[in-house]
Amino acid sequence: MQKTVMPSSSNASGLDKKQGNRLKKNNRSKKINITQKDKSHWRRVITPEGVPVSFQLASRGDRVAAILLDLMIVYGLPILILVGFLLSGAWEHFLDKKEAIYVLISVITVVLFLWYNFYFSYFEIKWQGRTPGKRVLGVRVVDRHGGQLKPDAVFARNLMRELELFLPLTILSSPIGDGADGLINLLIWIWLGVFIFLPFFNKDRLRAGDMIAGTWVVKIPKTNLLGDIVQDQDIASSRTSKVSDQTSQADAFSFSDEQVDAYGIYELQTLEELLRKPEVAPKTIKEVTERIKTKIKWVEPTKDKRSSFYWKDHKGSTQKDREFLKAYYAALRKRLEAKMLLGVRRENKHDK
Amino acid sequence: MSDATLKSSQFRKEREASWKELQDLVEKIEKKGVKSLDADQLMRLPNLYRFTLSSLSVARGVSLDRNLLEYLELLSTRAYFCIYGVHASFGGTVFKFLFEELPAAVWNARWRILLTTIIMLVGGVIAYYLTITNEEWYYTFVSDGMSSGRTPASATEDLRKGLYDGADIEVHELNVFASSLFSHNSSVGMFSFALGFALGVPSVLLIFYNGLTLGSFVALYSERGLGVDVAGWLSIHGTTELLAIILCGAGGLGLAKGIIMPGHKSRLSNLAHEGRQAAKVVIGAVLMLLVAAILEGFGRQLITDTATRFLIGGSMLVFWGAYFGYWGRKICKRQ
Repeated sequence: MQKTVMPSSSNASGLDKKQGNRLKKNNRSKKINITQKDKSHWRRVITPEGVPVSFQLASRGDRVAAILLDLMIVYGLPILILVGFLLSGAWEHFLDKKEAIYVLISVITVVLFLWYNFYFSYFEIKWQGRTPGKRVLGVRVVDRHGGQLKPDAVFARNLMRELELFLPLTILSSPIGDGADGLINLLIWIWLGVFIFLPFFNKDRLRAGDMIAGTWVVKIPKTNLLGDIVQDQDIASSRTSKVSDQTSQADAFSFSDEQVDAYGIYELQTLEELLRKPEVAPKTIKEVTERIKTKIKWVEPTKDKRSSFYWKDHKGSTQKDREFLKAYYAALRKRLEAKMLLGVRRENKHDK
Repeated sequence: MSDATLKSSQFRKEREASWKELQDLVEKIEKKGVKSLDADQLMRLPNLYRFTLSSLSVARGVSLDRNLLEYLELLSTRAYFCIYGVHASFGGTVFKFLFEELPAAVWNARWRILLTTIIMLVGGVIAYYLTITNEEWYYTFVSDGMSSGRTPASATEDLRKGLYDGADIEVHELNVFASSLFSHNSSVGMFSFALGFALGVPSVLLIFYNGLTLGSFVALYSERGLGVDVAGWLSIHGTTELLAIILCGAGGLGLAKGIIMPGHKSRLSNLAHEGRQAAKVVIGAVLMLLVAAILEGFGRQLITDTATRFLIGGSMLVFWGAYFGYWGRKICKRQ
């Protein structure tokens, strides 16, 4: 029996099915591309406990936004304080005390030096690899090998900013000469461009500072634990069985071994994604349901024919399709998980 | 019903509450820092973290619920970064840095420091002889900003006065002088370190150029018979300041070494190792420049006796020698 199922499922379908398959394949290949694209900036790190955990590299856009925010704070805050100081009129008290002014100037010089040069280092140590800008954008600096982020690494990566960030800013703010000066400026800019665009030329998006410190900048997306579809299904089915006068839904959908063997993990998780989406067009659900039904050669239980008027009602049919999909999901997951426990991971439907 | 429940669902049901608890703790830490947790929660955190990690390991083997797997994985990652982030008290870090890491890092970089010193000396000697033979060279080596009027055209008496004036300046003006010296020198030092990324060539050039300026400057004075005076003038802060600049240059060479000669490891990982070591050296150099700025801003202007200047400069040199050479070596051996 099983032997006949395999060829028939791939062969017996007519032209329609082939088209459907192609459509699905196109969809799938697109999806795989997307997931591969997504995966390309996922990195794994092995914790000291020996469990690999994964996170996402921060996008370059996030990092540029974070740096712009930080620069606004670094340069904006002193200016704001200065303006506030001048407006408050507190400076009038200093006019007659010459010594106080000198002390004030020297204190300001040192404080500004420390502020400009150690702003990033201070916050990255204090806030576990996050500056105010990074915090807003939800990114952080971590060690590339999964160890602790040490203060020396933080200093190393931020000392390089002198070259990557503050030098270009200084040059940008100085007037551009012409002739020989222009040429030198051009050379300087090419040289600096190498540093500025370094994160665009390596797959780990490292800037020079990250390279010398052995760090990278990551984003850890927040996820919520959604309900378990399998448990939800019990609740949902009990609810519908109250509404409709049908007997237990579990009886309505029972699948044979061949039927649950039709798909693998990839299809299971695609189905999970579909069921978890809050808004799905009824048409999609219907299409997917029909495709699965054709694939597993689903025969409607006889009692369904009695209540076939449901099928005319659009909403009712969607609801019913959902029920079917959930039931099939539960059955498929049970089957695949049982196989996995025995050491067989069936990645997708082509995997035997 | 019991037939319908999966093993993985059961697994999840039994552990879900602990995951949620960890999630709450992690969110609190991310928002308000570790200190916002009370003692109880702090005790729970590592346990919950290990529990969730083990759940993740098991879930990878038993569950195919992708949302669950992703949730556990990202929750573990977040908790992991909360637990293994930077966790140093600031005071403790400073103490450890001053008494262990800095001297050891400098001692480990001793050959690079020697090399940088030689480069600087070579620059100095070349400029000295060129300027002694022809004073016009002075204008090539010493920029206008640096010389600030102290050129071969100045009278000897003016130059001498330049070395000893300041006794009449008031202290509060020296504050300004010292603080601006510090921020300027430190920027230059950090910059010369960062330039090491370009295979160290700019670092070497910068150190060499510093040597040229110094040699030419000394030549100008010694030609007028002010050799001892200028040496005293330079030594009071120069022993600290020049050593700090040399350390920055050596830090830059450390980066270069990481790229050019990676040894057994890959270039990137070796660069990361060298970079961290070099960063320690440079931070140490910035601290030294702070000391130098105080010596230069106050000491040099207030102390005008050449013998005392030599004494202070010399004892600073002995101090640095003992700190890096003796203490650093001892720590390296202990490790």
